[in-house]
Amino acid sequence: MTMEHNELIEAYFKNELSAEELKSFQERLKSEMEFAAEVEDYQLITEGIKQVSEETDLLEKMKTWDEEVSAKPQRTIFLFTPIRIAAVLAPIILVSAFIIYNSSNVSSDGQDLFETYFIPYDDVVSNRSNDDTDFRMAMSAYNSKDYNKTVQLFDKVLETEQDTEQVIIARFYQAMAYLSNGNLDNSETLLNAVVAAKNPLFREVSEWYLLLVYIKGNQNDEADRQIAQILTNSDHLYYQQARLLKEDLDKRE
Amino acid sequence: MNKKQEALFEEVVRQIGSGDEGFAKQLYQQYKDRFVSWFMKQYKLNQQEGLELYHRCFLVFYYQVKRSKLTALSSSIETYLFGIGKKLMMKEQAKERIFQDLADAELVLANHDITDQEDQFHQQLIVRQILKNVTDPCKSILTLYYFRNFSLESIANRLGYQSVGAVKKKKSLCLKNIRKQLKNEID
Repeated sequence: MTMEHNELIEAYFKNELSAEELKSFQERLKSEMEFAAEVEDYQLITEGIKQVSEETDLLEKMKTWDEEVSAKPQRTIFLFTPIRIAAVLAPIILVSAFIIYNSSNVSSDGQDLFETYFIPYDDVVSNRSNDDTDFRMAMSAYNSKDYNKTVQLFDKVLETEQDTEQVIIARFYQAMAYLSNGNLDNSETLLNAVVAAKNPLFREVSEWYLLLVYIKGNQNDEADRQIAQILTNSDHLYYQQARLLKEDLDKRE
Repeated sequence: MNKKQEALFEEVVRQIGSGDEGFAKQLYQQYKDRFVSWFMKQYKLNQQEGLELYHRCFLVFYYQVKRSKLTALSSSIETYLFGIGKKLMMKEQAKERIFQDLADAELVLANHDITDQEDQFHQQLIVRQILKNVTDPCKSILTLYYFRNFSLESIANRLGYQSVGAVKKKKSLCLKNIRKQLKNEID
């Protein structure tokens, strides 16, 4: 499925081919088996993407509807008999004991969750045309997972770079490098700077990685706030991941 | 199915077809509690497992109607939902397969149709399994483009790609990889 083929097939399904192009396309469908198979697969895959996304969306909605119901206030019962009080207190005591017992494991919990969800963001900028050698070397180091070198090279880039977008990109990938090396403070500062920039470049992506910083650092309040913020926007790029992460966090409570 | 149930089902088909979310929510809530409590009791499920089972059954029902695979019912909607749930539970208990999505469930439910459409079903199932394992950036690019109908330009802006060409190239590579996996699975 080459890029040209892809565009041609897409234009066919969008009814964007001219009469002549359509005729040639239909002739190819009849005479070239491989081309016909490619068209069929394209349809199968793109339909699959739509259907899986649609179903994921409904599943998310069902979970929201469940939460709405469980958030409604329950009927109050004013029967404070000793047995009822004991019944109410027992689980609280048990849960408190459990939390105290497990408090020494909080750190490893955050680490586990972080490892489940953290993947350094792909290099999506190396195709950008720029003559900045340090920048290209920094991205090359990033792609080789040499994060110390990435940090050093991006320091050099950030000392001189004037272009706003390049600064955002440099900060973002430097934050990724810091995060991969476990330097949470520096990563947090840089990601916050990307989120606060007026330019929306990498904003939603950075909001997600900030959440992972908080998870790894066991900053529970910040993590809760960050998840809530992402979940206010159902179109957020990381909405589904944030929901899954929230479920994992809820299971641990 | 009596006349009242028939009329209700016709209304459900109409409303689901129109994509009315409020109606979907109402329908979802209508059968939930009875379904979850019955399956919790019968199959010794906990609340969460019962709820997840209901999600899958409702999803199957909803999209069978929406995609015109279910145009008539011989029972009430509630009985039909319970029927889906029982079949899924029987299959899970037999440990033949762990159901993870709609296609798995539909394969079980529609096994009388499979002989005619076996290849198509099989391929759809494989595509779904492949798609579920697609990671970013492919996942975001393909979802934004094919499901949310974002333009290539807005995808480029959102994900940090500078040129439309770069997104187009990446999208093409993503599709190519999925097709390669599909061919490997089928061959």
